[in-house]
Amino acid sequence: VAVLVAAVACDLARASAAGADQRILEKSEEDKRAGDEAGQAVEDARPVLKKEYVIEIKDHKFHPAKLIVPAGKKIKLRIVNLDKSPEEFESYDLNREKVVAGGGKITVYVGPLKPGTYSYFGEFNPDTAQGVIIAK
Amino acid sequence: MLSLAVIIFREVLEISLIIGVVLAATRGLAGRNRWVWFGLLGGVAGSCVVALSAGAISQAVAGMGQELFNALVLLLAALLIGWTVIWMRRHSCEMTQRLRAVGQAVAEGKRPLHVIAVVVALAMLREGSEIVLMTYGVMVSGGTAAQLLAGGLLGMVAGVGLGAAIYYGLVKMATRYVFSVTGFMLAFLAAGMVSQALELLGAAGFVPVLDMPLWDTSWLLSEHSLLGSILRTLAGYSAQPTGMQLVGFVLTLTVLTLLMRTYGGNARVAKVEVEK
Repeated sequence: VAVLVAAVACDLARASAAGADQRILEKSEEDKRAGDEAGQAVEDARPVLKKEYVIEIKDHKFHPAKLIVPAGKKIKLRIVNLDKSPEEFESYDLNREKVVAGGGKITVYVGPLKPGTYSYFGEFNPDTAQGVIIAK
Repeated sequence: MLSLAVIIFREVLEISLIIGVVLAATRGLAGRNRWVWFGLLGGVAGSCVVALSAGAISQAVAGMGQELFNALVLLLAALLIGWTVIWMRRHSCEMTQRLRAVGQAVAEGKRPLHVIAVVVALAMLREGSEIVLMTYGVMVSGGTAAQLLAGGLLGMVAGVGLGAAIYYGLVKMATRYVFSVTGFMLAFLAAGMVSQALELLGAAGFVPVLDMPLWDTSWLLSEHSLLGSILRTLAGYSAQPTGMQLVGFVLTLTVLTLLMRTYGGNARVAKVEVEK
């Protein structure tokens, strides 16, 4: 029991540390986005809903790694794996988890989302496969 | 290597927790271990088949085949676990009635063993197929065999270790309580599986009503932390449950509890069985 408690305590500490990292990451992501937008012409506050949004996986990375979608709408994501190796699209924020076979594609429905940033990752290659979906 | 170990640990943990509880609950049934091994072998073979068919499964049912398949696996496992709970309850009554007819009791004990093998195999199918896919992915991407072996073994040993801790913890429990405790743990296990199945069906758009999350407790306990994933497997914890998940969870738990009470033996009956 002591071991289990220790393990749990350790895990909680790690989780809160990870949470802090996540917040810093989101912050810097937001800064970057603000910078991007200032450079371009002023974007519409509300992006138009597309029929589907395609995210490609290549060399264990997501393209585009940053996708902007309208808030309050059901979103259809098509995830196309151009790599030979399988990947798992996973998002804690969106509560989704789905395997994409090597060279395969999947459909994932998310939302309606509240405005905000939702991160996702490839569970089989979490070091490189990271992305965010931003709902506006 | 460490990230691989962590991922494998997570998948193995879920498998070994389920199997640990099922084993503790069915302890004392003659010839059970052989069927558990059949279940494990079947689970490994099944995981490979599912991994190989991952692409085809995904494409089926308008791209929602994966959710549907996993939901069906979970529902079937929940059904069989529920059936095991009831059987164990009724069995302990029969055992007292035929206390002296040992041969008969042993023959009786053979009946749910096929079911246990299937439960073990089903428990392995989802997470096991992910392990196979990931291992394959690491190999395709040029990971070395040594990395794979070290990471895989580390994760596996840690995952099985926790499952074994649960099992021995339950087995060591006072015999007076062990049957009622494991019975309720199985009921929670089944209810959690029903809830997870409804979560998947909801994600695939097959649940037309009550499909929005009721609350979000991920700030308090993430499903993906160690404690969170243990509670998710054992007690059906969900950080963002939909209305339908809650309904399914409560309904499964209520039905199983009522059935357990209907067929239930009392504490003394359970004790007699353990002593045999």
